[in-house]
Amino acid sequence: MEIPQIARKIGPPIFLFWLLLINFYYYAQFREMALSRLPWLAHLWR
Amino acid sequence: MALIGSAGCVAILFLIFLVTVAFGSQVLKRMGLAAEQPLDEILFSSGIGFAVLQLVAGIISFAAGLTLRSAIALLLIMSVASGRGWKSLPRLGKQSLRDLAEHSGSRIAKLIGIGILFFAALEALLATAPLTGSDAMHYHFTAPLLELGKPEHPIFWLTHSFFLGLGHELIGLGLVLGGDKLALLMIFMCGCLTAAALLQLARRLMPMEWALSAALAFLMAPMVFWQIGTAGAPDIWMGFYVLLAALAMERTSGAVGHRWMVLAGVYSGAAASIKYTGWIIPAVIVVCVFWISKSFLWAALCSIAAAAAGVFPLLRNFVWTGDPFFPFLNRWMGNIPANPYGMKLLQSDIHARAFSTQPLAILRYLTAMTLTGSEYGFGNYFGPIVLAFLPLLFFCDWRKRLVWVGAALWFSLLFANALTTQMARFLLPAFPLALALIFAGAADASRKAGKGVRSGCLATLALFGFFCLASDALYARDFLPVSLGLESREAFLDRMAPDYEAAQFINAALATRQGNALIFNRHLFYLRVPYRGGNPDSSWATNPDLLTDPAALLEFLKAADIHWVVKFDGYPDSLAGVFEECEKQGMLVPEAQGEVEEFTGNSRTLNNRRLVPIVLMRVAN
Repeated sequence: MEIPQIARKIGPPIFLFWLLLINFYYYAQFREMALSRLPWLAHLWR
Repeated sequence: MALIGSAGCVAILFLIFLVTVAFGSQVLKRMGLAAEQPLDEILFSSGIGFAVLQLVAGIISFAAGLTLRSAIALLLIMSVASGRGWKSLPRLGKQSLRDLAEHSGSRIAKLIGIGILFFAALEALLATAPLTGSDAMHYHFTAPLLELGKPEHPIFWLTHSFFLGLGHELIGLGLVLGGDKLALLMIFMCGCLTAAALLQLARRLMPMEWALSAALAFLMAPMVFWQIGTAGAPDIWMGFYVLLAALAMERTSGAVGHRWMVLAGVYSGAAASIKYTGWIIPAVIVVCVFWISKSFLWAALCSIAAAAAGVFPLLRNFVWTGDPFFPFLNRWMGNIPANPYGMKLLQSDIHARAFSTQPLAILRYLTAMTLTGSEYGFGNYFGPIVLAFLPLLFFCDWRKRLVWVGAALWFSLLFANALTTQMARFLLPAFPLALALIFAGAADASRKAGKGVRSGCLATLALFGFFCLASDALYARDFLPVSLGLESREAFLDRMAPDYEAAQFINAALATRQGNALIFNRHLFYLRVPYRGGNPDSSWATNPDLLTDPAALLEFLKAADIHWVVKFDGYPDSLAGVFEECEKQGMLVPEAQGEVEEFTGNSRTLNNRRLVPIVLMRVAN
C-alpha cells in the first residue's frame, strides 16, 4: 500500500516519540522492584 | 543425582513427543493432508497427537482413574495406532533441520538462533526444579494429584478443581509417569512447540531474521519465562493450539481446504478444552470458516470437530453439578446449593483489582495492562513490545488470510478478557499471535518508513532483550542451584515453596493420627495426609452463611468425617467467630502446636517472611 506524503513526513517522528514514551513508562515501573532486589543499583540510579 | 533424574524425565518427555508426532502424522495422512514445510508437519502432527492424548487421558481418568499402568497402555496403543507414522519421523526431523539451517544462514539469524537456544535451555533448567508455583500448588497440580488412581470425582472443598481442563490431564499424565518434574517439563515442551509454531507462522509474514526475533521475544518475555519455567499452569497449551488453528486456517483454500477447516476446528476445540475462557476460540474459528466457505455444512462440521476435541470437561462438570461452567452458571442452572459468599470471593479472585466495564476503563485497560501491571494481573510481564509496535499493525498485509484470521483471534481473546476479568496474564494464548502480527508490521515498516523507524524498532527490541536477560537471570538465580544439583530438594522447598513448612508440620503431626484434617492453607500440593480444604475462598462446601453456630459447625465436621482442624495463623475471618466459640466450649482441643516461617506480600521473589503460629486441634466427640 502506498503511504501518503503527509504520513510519510510526520509519521516517523510521532512513532519515535510514542516509542520513547512507552519505553520510559514501561521500564520506570520496575524501579522499586529492582532496588529492592539489587540495593547497589541505587547508587547508579541517583 | 538431580541432573540424572532430570535427564530421565527429558527422555520420557521426548518419547511422549515422538508418539504424538507419529500418531498425528498418521492421522494427517489418513485425512489426505500434507504441510509443505516439514516443521509444519511436525507441529500439526504433535498438535493432533496431544489433542487425542489429553482427551483419552481425560476419559480414562473420569471412567477408571489414571494409573501408571493405564498411562503406559494409552501411550502403547497410540504407538501401535501410529503405524507408518513412525517411518516419517526421521525424514521430518532431517528435513526440518536442513530447512532451518538453509534459511538461517545470515550472521544475525545465527545470533538470534543462539539467543533462542540460550533462553530455552535456561527455561528447561527452571522446569526441572520442584514445583513452587502458587496456583499450581493450590489446584493446577493438586487437583490432578488428588484424582490419580481412582475415577475422577467432584471435589467441592476445592472449587478450582472444577476448572480442570484437558491440559490438566496432561499434568496428571506427567505426575503418574515421572512426578512433578515431568509434568513441569511437559509444560516447558509446550512452550517450545508454541515458539516453533510462532516461528513458522511468522515466516509467512516477514523475513527469517524478523521471524526468529519474534520467537526470541516470545521465549524471553518474563511472562513466558515464568509460565513455561516454574508456574506450573497449563495455559500455554491454549497458545499452541491457537497458533495451529490459525496456521490450519491459512490453508483453507484449494482442493483439500475444507479438511483443513475441520482440522482447525479440532485445534480450536483442544484450545477451548484447557480453560472455560477458551471457548471464544472455536467461536471465532467457526465464524471464519463460515465467512470463507459460505457454507453452513462446513461451519457445522468445524463446530462438531471443536466440540469433540474440547467439550469433555464441560460434560464432566454437567454430570457432576448440572452446570457445565460450575460454579459460574450456578445461579441459573444446576443442582448444587448456592454459596453466594464463596461466589463473591471467587469472582474477586479472577478479576483484576482495577476491573471495570465502563467504556473508558476498558480503553484504559488496553494500555495500562502493560504499564501498570500490578493493577491488571501481571500484564507488564509481557513486555512493552506489543504496545510499542501497535501503530505498525497498519503496515501488515491485511489481504493475507493468516493476518486477518490471526487478528480476529487476538482481538477476540483481548476483548473477551477486557469484558470478563481484565486479568492480563490470561492473555498468554493471544501473546504469540500478537507478536507475529506486530513483528510483521515492524518488518514492513522498517523497509518502507525509513531509517528512523527501523532504528527505533531495533533499539526498542535491543532494550527489551537486555531487560529480559537481566530480569530472567535474576529470577532464575533462585532456581538454578536445585536444578543443577547444588542444593537439596528439601532445602529448596523450604526456601521457595509457599506454605511448605506448614505442610511439613501437618504431615508430621498427622503421621501417627487417624482421620481427615480440615486445612485452611492455600497451598496443598505437598500435603501427604488425608485432608479437606476449609477456606471459604476456595471451598464451595464451606459456606460461612450456614456455619453460624457451634452445632452447625460440628455437624459439618461430622458429615465430612473430619477429626482434626489445623489452625494456621488464626482462622479465616468469616469463620473465626464460630471456630473460637467451639474452642471455648471445648469442642476443639489443641493437640500439637508450633511456629512456621511463611512468605508475606504478593511475590515470593521478594523473600519477605514472618513467623506464623500453627496449631493442630482435635475435634472432641
